[in-house]
Amino acid sequence: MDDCEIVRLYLERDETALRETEKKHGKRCRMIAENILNDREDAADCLIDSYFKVWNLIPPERPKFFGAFVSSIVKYTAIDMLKAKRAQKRGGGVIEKAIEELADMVSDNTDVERTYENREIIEKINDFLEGLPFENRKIFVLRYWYCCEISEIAERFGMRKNSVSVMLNRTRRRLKEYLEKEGYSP
Amino acid sequence: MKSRELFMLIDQIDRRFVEEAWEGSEDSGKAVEIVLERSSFHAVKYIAAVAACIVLFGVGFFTIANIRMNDPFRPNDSEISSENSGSASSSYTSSESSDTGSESESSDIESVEPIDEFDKLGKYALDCTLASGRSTVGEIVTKMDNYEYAVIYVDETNASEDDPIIVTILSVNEHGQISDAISESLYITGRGKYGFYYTELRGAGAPCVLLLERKGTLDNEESDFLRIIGTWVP
Repeated sequence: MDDCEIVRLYLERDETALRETEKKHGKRCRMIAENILNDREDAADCLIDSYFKVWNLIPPERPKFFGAFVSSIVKYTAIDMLKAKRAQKRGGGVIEKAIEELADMVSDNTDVERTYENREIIEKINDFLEGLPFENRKIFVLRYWYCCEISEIAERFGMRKNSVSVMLNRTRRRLKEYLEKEGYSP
Repeated sequence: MKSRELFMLIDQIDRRFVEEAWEGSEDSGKAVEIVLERSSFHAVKYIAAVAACIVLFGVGFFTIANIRMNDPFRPNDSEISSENSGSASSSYTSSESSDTGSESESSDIESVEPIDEFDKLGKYALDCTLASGRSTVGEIVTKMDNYEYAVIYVDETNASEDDPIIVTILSVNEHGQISDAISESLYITGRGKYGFYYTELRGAGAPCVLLLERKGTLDNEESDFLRIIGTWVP
């Protein structure tokens, strides 16, 4: 079943939508949740909460990219759960590593909290991604959007982990230079 | 942290890049099916249940749809059936006649309601509320690998080491007879929230209805049958 059909089921309040969502996008959602939470049981809880949110959001939402929409909800739900978990116990996961890797890319002077500027930066990042070679772009998005482990990416692309790390490092450096050139870093 | 903000900005990139990155990695279809157990779903569930019942009654397939039964584990209350010959486990029969006069608050099954369509994959749990309305304990959310496994979603809020919830999956044949348990008993001792449990299913004949049996505490083995949770057509 394609995504349009699944969204239609949500709009019609047909519970089959949940099953179809799980069938079509469960794998990636589970991967995101497990990568962030580092716990299968928590990830399962996260998926339940996320699908429930999707059910409540559609309608009125009518996402154009349903897979990304669900994935995004899963990611934020997982992050929220991680925050709650961390409040009780200090832990670690791939999301922290991914954030850490981005740490040297944005200076303290960049006021990314301003909404309009955020939108501009997002547009710049989109432009940057558009200009990347196809494989580089996919790897970048898998790492920093899907929070994939480097080993997972390497396996998916038949590459060595080191090669993926080097590629990501170069892409980050290029993004940093690009953002600096566009005036978002000193 | 600024890197955290950048991370959040990257989260908002064009969704086509997000879809593109996942291309070629679509799900195999073996994923666990998750049916949400939330109050807002109940209305939908009941509508689906009614619709399914109408269809199934129409073809006369499920004559067991209105069975009521008392706790079949009480010898005095249940009629022990010997129709399931050759089985090491005991089997139980329920019938309309068993419904008179001795309704136990927590052990009655209100009715057998095939709630979902008889599709090949089937759906195994929509309504696990006891007839008494006492509690909702769990549901089988999917079965995988050619019906060899069930994934059970259990509200274990009230379970503890001292007071576990014991769940067994039973089957009911087309005559309304509760046949043997088709899973090992799961002892759910609670994590303070909801949980998924996997259990292996033994083969069952066609067609049948699955039940979740929720026994009481270890000290009190009195069984609570949950309402029929779905249909299974191998």
